[in-house]
Amino acid sequence: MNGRRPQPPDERAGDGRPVEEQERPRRRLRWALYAYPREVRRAEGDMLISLACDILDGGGSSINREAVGLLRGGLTSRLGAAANAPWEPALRRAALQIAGALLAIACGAVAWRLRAPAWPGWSWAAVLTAPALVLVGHLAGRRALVACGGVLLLALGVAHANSDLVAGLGLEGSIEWIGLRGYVEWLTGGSWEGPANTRAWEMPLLACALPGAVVLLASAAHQRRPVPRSVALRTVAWVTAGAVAVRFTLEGVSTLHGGSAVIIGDLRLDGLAVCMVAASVAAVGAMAVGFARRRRDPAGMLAGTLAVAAILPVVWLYGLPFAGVPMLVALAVCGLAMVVAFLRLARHTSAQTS
Amino acid sequence: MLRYIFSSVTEAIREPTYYVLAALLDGPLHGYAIAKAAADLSEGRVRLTAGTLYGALDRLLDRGLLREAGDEVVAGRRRRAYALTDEGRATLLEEARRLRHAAAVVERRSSPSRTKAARA
Repeated sequence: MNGRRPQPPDERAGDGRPVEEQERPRRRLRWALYAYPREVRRAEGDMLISLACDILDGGGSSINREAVGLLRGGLTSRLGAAANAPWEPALRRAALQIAGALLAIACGAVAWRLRAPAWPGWSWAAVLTAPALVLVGHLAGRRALVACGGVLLLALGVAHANSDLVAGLGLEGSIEWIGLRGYVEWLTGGSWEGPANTRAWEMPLLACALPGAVVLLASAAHQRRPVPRSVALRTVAWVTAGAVAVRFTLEGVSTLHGGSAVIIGDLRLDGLAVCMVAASVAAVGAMAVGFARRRRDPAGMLAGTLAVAAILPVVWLYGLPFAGVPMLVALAVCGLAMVVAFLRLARHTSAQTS
Repeated sequence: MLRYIFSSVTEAIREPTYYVLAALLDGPLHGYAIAKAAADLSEGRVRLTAGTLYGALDRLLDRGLLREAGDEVVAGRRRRAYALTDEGRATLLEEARRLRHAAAVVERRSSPSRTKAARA
């Protein structure tokens, strides 16, 4: 070929070694090749293996080093594809959905509780302020406001989960927690009771907002500019409508049962928990619509997945009839499954936008 | 001065990438030859595995610094050749100038006469 330096003769390939001895490193390298995405393996796999074998035959490396190199390269390739997904619009949309839902629920709950304009108390004020900061931050394009709201929600969730979580996992007495429970007034009726045949424990609803708080903080990192006016108006409209709906749902639940509980089988749900579950179901429904429309809206698809990942624990955690180590294992498995599904989705949306 | 500032805020070239580009200055090469040339030019400091080299070549193709120069099969092994583009050659030369300037700064400041004056 013109301009091409003569290449040294290939001394090793086909050098008379038994086929089995030549194939052994290729098999190990083929296993390492699975780190690459399928499309890369199909298009470039044989070239990668040939390159690795050439380097091995040249004495410049070892089989383990090449296998590790392929593993690293494959994982970088997968993450690189995921990094090209439309994160900025997806995180912004998910943040608007999550913060809007939380604000609507909190406003509705406060309105139901107070029934007249009055100071709701510091804990209620904090629960209202956190999602409000995130919404205002995104609408106005202010990263600091979004970050403050995310951090506040994170702190609220951790504080509320504090002593309740310790009691539920049987770790009482073995870990020293700073007891905020005695200093702030938390949402009344903001917990569930487990089935009667297990050790009854309360799970604080604000702890379920922790995954959402992480999404909100991530959206602050990507915040660049204010949303268009039409999006802002739409967001304010559905937050208002949501708050009114929550208000009357809580009223209806209390009136129907003469108290604060809804009984579904062995589970007893208070009005606020009903609203949180309804929001989660709505998020799952929106996600299903997003998948159905996946060829037209990659950012929406990603946003829906983020919202579901953030809100689904509300339904899932409370449904488990067990606690302690099995719950932690189940949490870890589901968390891992969500991460894998999430990365696959990110690569898929990246392929659609590229 | 402006050129130096501008080049320092653009994406920096890491050492392995630098030697991969340098290996292609004489003409197109296939993957193994690039790895071997990079090791020779760097006096053994840069030793690339297949996975690392493939990732680097892929990134350089995306940035337009390299182009593919044809596939061939030699003794049952598929090989792809790569060549520098004009932009790749210019980027490499710019990086070499930047490194030369950086080295000159240190060498000037650590010259024997200057060191002697500093100690006095």
